[in-house]
Amino acid sequence: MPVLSFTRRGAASRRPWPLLATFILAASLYGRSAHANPIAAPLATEVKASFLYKFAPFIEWPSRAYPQTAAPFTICVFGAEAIGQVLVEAVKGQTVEGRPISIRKPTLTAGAGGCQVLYLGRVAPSTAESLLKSVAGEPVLTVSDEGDPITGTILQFCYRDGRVRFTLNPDEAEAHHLSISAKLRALAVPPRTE
Amino acid sequence: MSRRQQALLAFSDPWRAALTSLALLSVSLVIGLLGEENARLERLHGAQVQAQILANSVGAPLAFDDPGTTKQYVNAYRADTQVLAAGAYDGQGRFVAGFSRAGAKLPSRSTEAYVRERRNEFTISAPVAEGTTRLGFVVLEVVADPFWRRVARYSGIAIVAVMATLLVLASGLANSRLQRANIALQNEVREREKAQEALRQAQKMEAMGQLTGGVAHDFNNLLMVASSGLDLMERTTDPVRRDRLKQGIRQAIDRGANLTQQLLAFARKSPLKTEVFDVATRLDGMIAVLERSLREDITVKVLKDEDLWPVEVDPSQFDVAVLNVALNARDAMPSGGVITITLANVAGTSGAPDRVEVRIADTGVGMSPDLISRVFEPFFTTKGVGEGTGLGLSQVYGFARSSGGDVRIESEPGQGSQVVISLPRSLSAIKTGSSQLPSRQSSPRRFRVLLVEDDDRVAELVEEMLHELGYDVVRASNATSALEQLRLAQTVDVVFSDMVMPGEMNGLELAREILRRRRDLPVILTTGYSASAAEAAAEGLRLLVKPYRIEALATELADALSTASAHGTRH
Repeated sequence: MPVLSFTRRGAASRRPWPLLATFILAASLYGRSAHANPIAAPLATEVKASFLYKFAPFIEWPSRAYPQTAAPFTICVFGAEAIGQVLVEAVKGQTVEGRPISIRKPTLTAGAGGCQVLYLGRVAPSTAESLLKSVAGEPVLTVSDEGDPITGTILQFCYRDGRVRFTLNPDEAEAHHLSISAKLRALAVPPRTE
Repeated sequence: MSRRQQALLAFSDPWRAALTSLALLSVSLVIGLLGEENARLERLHGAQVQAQILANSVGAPLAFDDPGTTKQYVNAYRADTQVLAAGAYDGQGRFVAGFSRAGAKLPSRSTEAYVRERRNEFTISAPVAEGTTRLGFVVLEVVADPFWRRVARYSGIAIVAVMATLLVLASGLANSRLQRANIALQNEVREREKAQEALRQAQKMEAMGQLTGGVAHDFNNLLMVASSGLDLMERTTDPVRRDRLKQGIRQAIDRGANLTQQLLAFARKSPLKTEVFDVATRLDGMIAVLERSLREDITVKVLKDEDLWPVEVDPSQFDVAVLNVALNARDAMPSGGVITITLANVAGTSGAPDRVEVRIADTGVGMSPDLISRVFEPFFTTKGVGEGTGLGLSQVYGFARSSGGDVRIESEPGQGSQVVISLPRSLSAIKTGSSQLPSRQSSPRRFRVLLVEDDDRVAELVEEMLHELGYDVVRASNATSALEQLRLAQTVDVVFSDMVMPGEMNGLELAREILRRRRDLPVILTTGYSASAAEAAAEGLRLLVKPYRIEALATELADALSTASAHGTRH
């Protein structure tokens, strides 16, 4: 199984820095009361990474989600190198339902088959669509990053009060034959209407 | 207080009550401690469950970095006043949310599960996990129970225990007080009995005084009669008058003898000398004496059954009893009347033995029931000082009871009185003898009597009586000389000895000595002293009680000699 190893080098400087600059600028302009949606990038990355594997205990996968009985719990990360790297470190020694956790980057050709979690970071809408299509109706928890106009994922990160939160699309969850714990539902924030 | 009473008190209620109270308190304490321990364990378990619930509820907010929600969940525990502090910590052990009340402090980090107990506070750190994913920790600090609540919990049983203890103590004390009171009461009763005994003794002494006075008065009268009779006899030669004077003296002496007999009977020291006899015959012999003791205006009638059963009683006591009743009857009839003596057989019924009844009825004033109940008491008398000793009916009672019989009184005021002496029937045959008729000894040889008497005047009179009865007499003035005479005298057929004598030996010892030396020699003792008489009677010796009449002496001697000869012929 091809497990990709992310390197921190080169990944850090791509997008977070402008975000951080914007944040500092905004903070200096509006003070503490300002709505600073984008939080410090490295922090946000780590939070999101931790969320990705912490979703697992709150969600029930049907047994057919795993290709083999001894298969690991696989989180596929696409378009989010930094998160992938953090995840690899974070999940060391962790298990989901007794399975070790493996982090993988799916290829467009192979699709996301065999993943239990599919995270779509900064990806083109067409790529996202094709990846999502590859797991349509499969027991895969699909998660997308905030802000991007990707539709059709079960969970989507968002920022509220300077914190990373998530929205939940229960219809999608049903379509993927996943049952979401009430505790997780309770924490989901409603999507912005604007 | 006696030693036994003290011992009784020492081991009794106060100690028992104290021990019971102690046991009660100990048991209460043990129950309390057990209850306290159980409550502690329950509280610990409850706190653990609370921590677990909190851990479950904050799992998702901790996992998804939602301190607001976490805080909400944790703060829900503020409602429980027993929760002193509650906090949630994330996967890295960093504090996320929580609260603490005054006096409680949450740790800044929490990275392990533990249960800590400090006094009555529990601090529990429980892991937060979802599935196998560890998400953080919650820390809960719980006070087991506030002091006032524990006091409230145990106050009920404590009050009951204390009340029970107090009750036991109080009842024990009351009991001991009661026991002390009882002992005091017993002591008082004993003291009172002593006082009553002393009073009785004093009354007895007073009665003795009265008795002595009465007896002395009676004796003085008797002595007056005898003395004046003798004086007058010296001054007259008229045989008819001398006879009347002699009769008067005889009567006085008879009454004196009766009086002393009564006294001895009352003192219960006069030995009962029982004989089988016929009451009717005995009464016939008495009639003359009876009539002599009564007044001219009183008639005596005797009614008797045919074939009257014999009785076995002391005949002289019987005489005295009849005389006593007759004298009372006389006194109850101040203006004359009839005394009816009825002798009858009464067949025993339902196991009671056959009896012979002697009913002595008068036509006198009668008695009230109140009086009847008292007449048998010694010294009780309705007569004036000097007229009665109060011993008459008590002698009758004593005689009847000691003879195995009974006495009762039937009377009503104005209707006369009936005194009924009932005596048990004797199945033995009446001893036939000529004791009633003293006569000169008419055997071929004159019997010789060794007379032992220290008082010369008495000895002279008795010697004369013995001569009169046809006996030869050898005299000795004490036991030693009597034994000497026995050794020297050729023949002595019977020894007649006084009991109270000066010298080394008294009469009783002499009798024993003679018996030891010569079993075949009969000894008759005589005394007027009741203690000696009782002693002699106890040893089965022949005894003639002073004062005795010549007839009695003749009978006793004849009897002793005939028994001795019968004894002798056997050898």
